[in-house]
Amino acid sequence: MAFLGRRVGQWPAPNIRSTLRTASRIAASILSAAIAAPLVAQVNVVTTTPDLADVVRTIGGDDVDVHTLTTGEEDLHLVTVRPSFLVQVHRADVFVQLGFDAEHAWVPALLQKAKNRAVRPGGAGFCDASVGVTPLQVPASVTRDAGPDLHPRGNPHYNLDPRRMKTVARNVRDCLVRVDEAHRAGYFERHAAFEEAIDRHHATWKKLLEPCRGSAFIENHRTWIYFADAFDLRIVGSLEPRPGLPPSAKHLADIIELAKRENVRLVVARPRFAELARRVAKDCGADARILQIGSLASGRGWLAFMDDIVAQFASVLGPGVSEAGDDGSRDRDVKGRGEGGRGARGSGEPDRNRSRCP
Amino acid sequence: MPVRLPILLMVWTSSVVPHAFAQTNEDLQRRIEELELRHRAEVDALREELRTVTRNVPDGVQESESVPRRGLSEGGQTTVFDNLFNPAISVIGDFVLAGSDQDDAFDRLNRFTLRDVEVGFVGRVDPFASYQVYLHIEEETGFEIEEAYLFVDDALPDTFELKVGHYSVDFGKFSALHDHDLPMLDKPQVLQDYVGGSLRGTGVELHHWTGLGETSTLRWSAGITNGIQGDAHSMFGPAAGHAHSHDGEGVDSFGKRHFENFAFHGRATAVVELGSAATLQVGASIAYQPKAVRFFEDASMQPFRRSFEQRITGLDATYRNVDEATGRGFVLVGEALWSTRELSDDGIDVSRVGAFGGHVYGEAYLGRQWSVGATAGSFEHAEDASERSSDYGAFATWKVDEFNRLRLEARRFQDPGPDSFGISMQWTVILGTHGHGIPW
Repeated sequence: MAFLGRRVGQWPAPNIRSTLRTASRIAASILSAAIAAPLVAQVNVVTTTPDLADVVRTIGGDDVDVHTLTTGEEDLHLVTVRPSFLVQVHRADVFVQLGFDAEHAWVPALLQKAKNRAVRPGGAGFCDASVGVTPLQVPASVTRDAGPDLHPRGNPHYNLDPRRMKTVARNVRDCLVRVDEAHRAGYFERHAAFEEAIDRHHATWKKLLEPCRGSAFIENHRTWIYFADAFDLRIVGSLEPRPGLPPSAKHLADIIELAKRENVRLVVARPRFAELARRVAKDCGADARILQIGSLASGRGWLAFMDDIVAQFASVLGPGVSEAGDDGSRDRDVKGRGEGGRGARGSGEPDRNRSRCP
Repeated sequence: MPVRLPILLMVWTSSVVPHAFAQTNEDLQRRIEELELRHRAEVDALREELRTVTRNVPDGVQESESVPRRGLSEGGQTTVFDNLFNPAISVIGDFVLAGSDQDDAFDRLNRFTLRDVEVGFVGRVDPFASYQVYLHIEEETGFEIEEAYLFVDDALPDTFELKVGHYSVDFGKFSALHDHDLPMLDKPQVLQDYVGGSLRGTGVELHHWTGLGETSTLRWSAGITNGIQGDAHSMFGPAAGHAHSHDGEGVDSFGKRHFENFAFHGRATAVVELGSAATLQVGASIAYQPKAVRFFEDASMQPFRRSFEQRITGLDATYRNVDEATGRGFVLVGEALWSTRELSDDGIDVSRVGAFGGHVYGEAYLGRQWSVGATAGSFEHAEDASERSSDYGAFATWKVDEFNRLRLEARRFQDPGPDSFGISMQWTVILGTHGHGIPW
């Protein structure tokens, strides 16, 4: 009898023992895969910022799958919720937010719509990274008279302080342990290593900025208070007259006058305020540095971001520093520039003599 | 030979050993500096931790008893009525100066108008539902409950949610928005003519959404209300003046309500992410009222009623491409609406009008504060499809900050009567809590 061009009788005789062995191996593989599946399943973590994603990734290792909702370039107060946000939060085991009302305009609605009670406040998978962080710039009176962009619980940009990021790391570790007790040892081990890495980098950063203690700089928006506190720098003014208010011509004139009086050598601003910062820096004879205020999703993580930031500050306020910390130089990351940002001299011409601490 | 060995040893010692010592000293110095820095960092961290701990630990066991009461006297016995559990309150003011060469039957043009003061109350009722109330206060007509509904969320499985009460019906792109939330001054004219601006109703509305892959969602809603009537606070257009929502008005007065007196509505919309900055939304909506009652006047000015059947269907598409880092980008919206109305006297058809209309809107965001946009619309009148109106206009918006917005708008109207022109300056202020919500 022909069957697909081959006679049945031509099939090799079946070897029952071999067949049974193969079948048992397949069955064992399926069984072990079924048993192992829950063990190797990763904890699905969603964070609001790349900084937090990096901390989760460092502490969670291969036990977590991390997604950040923002890229690090947005204004965290004004994020538009996209479909992927809903899908990700709906499926998440853990949700990590910066807190201090930084995400007040979109996270509450997102958490409500995503219908995942496990990651809402009160749920095991909700992690407010700011718990235990000592806030700065807590308004004495909560009124919009103090500015539209006011945070009643304090300034939310504590990710610029390595000491406070250690508190974040502990919060993340505890939350991961809460939802995934089976990998407790791994979380604790990686957390300890991360804390050590923070300490190591912190020591280097302090050494780099040690000669700049007490140096004055101007910020665009109330962002750098934790950084200044961590490294003993002075913020003498802000381009915004009140948080969230665009500057008037008179305010800018006052700031320039103040900068000259205080011998300010640095003006820092986020990229979308670059032109303004450069203009003010030029008028007061300072350097402008256009910096991100957190790591980018496409970057190399929080430690590398801080390396960049410290290097940027040291390059202006320090004695002509070229090193950038433990693991790299400034001009790196996407599009050939440092993750922290790109420097720009207000005058357009380099002036080495000004790059020194007062 | 014995003499040469000590000499060699001396030479070696004098050349190598001091260098080795110097190197060791340098190493030690560096090591001490590193340890010093590390020690300082650790002390800082410990101080930080201590501050945190002392901040979080109550001063004593009586702390809870000494917390100042809010809302009650210091000697209050209970915190049950403490205003900590009060709803979040918001107030929105919408102030308009509109000028036009139109006939003004409602005394709203060429004068300052406080178009809208909205007071909102939002809060959780319990773990399963929230409650939202929006009151509209106006100079002339006074007080109106714009929306008041219970939103049952966590009591329902999956992503189902249920709205119960008086609410803006989920229909089309702009219908459910309050006037001060619009990107332009007024609701599109076709929406004013076909659904009265905002479709409002009293009833129930079921919502559900589901993810389509990783970056898309499909949302649908279906509801039943007493009737479908419009509500608007427009300055220009068919609903200019004021049109309150009175769904099913008169029906109760003229006898028993039947199932066909209820109105039904539904909407399905999909939002798809196209890259990191762009989204495309498409939606389809329908509202249907099998039978309502409408009042007319005969030649002797005596009122009489007629049965009224209405069906409105709509399709809308929105393309949004905004760079979240800079706030720059644009949005394009198009919406088409079909309206069918049938009037009958005791089952005998008197008239049937099918009308079609649509509008487009585009806005370019020049940054986080400034935007410019344009709109255009054209529609056959829902009451008489042989008549057509159209309009086009442009506007510029300045968001002074998150709570303060100014808008300048100019618009040309082409109606069956004489053409007209309108210009407006709008100042919108937001006080208190408000959510940006999810744009779908």
